[in-house]
Amino acid sequence: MKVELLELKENRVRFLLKGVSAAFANGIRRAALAEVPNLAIDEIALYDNTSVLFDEQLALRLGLVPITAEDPSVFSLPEECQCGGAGCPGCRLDFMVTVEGPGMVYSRDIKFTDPSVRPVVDTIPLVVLGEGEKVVIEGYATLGVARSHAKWNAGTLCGYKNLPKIEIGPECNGCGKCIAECARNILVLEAERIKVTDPLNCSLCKLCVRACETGAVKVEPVLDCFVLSIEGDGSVKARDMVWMATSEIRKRAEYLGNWLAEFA
Amino acid sequence: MIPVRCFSCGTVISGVWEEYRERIKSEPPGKVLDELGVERFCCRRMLLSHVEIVDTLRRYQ
Repeated sequence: MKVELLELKENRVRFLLKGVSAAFANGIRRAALAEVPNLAIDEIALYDNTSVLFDEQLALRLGLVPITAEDPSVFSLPEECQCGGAGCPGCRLDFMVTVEGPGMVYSRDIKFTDPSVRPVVDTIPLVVLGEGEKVVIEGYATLGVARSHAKWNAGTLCGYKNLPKIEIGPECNGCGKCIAECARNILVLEAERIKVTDPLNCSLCKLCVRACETGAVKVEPVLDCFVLSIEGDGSVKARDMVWMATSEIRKRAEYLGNWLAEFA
Repeated sequence: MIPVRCFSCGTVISGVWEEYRERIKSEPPGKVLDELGVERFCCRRMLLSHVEIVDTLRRYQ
């Protein structure tokens, strides 16, 4: 297996995975989507809510706010915590929201008792308050995985495709029909010949193959090579997310191995 | 109120809502969305098609 990094940003990573099966690439995608633990507001107590939104709507909006910690590894999942899920500083992060109108309640108004924990985006409008309206909310955030609720979705858009292989044969007469057909604009005409500028951007739609009258254009997926694109909501860095997803797969594979060994 | 995340992909789009709402008064929405980094059409429709009704609702509180 070979890995080649294509793009690395805070929230997005794209890399090439060579010599693996589609099941393996899909495993990473699924683990990044559903198994990466991150923080989200779990339970709240509303002491006062005279805003236009119902309590439930406000609770939903709070839950969807992505929350990040400087070092998320110090916290543990409630079911794995040493307190046994009863609630301790290791698995519960208390917060308060106290805002009086008129004005907008933003995600930055969520004040955690732990100074290293904060919402990823400060400017999410939670609710707009009119004259004399007020919200007083207390609650806690916990670690969780997206398998149990979408609010813990650290990986937002994760996908993969086969590496496209585009070949231009000697039959090419430079008519340029494939250039007009390509939706991603990756083909150019250079000295009477078609040239591919960015094969990674190809969506394997094969419109160019259909447009070519001489049959010179060939587009094939490389079956054991994948372009993985992992994007997150900012609560976990994309780089860490791939790492956490793969460690989760490894943990499960080890568990399965040990379990099967009992029968051997 | 603008939904916190995009319905389809889950990206947080509400963080740019207020800036978007101010800027479309003088600029074309497509250009503003590009500059705010809202690139996919699932996220773009969240902002483009949103109608704010909380202020209307308040009258009937």
